[in-house]
Amino acid sequence: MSEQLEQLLQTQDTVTPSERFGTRTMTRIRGVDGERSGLPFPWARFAIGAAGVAVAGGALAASSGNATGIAEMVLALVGTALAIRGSLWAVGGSY
Amino acid sequence: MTELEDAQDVERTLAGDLDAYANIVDRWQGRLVTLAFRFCGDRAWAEDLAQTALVRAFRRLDQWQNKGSFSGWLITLATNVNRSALRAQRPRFETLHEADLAHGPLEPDAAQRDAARTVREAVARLPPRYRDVFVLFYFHECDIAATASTLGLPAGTVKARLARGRRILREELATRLGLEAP
Repeated sequence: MSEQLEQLLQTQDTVTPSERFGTRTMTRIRGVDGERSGLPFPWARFAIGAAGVAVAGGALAASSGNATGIAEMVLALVGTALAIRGSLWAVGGSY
Repeated sequence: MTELEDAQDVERTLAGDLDAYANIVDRWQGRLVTLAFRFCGDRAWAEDLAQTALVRAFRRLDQWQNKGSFSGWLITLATNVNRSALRAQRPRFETLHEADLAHGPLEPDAAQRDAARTVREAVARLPPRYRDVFVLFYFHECDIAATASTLGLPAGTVKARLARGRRILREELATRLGLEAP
């Protein structure tokens, strides 16, 4: 039986994809490629800006002795980031 | 199908030439649909799985970067897609029209084709740990090393699973195919 089973297991056949398989797949691929090339979120610029705001906020808070200044700066930073992300999403960008 | 052609088309695709990826789709569609069919047993589902594998490969193309063979990388990726799908849904077997199958030299008549189909269905019903090695080793013409590499298993484990799977199949098919009991 082992030989018979081996022979059956080694039977070779292939399934032929439907005619439009290649076209449909490439349509999806082009869609993926389009998403990729959307407007990217400017993380590098955002990081530089965030660092600048943090330094300025820290200096301001230290000079005024106002501890809530730092928290206000952080909130402003988060709000700005969300606004940028929202506007990119609205124009179809990716981030 | 050569590794060189694949490597060149990957390079062109990464440079932004989507026509190069169409070449990859064209070269690999038959093998990937067949591989998926071996796992799921349904032609339409197999096409969906093969398409998912090709899209996922496109998204991750920059991760290959000539690390090992492209064929090994793509088959591993497609096998993972198929295995994930079958964790969520059971395989279903349909009878393919004759025109859908390109028969090889080992199927001289309808009776043997039916027997081969019965064996494939029995393989698809094996527990996943055995099914996966059978599909790759027998139906996808991988050797022990390639099967082990694709599944991320030691070669000894693949051999052991093949041996255990053969015993299960012999028990199941003895009556159905009129073969001698093990």
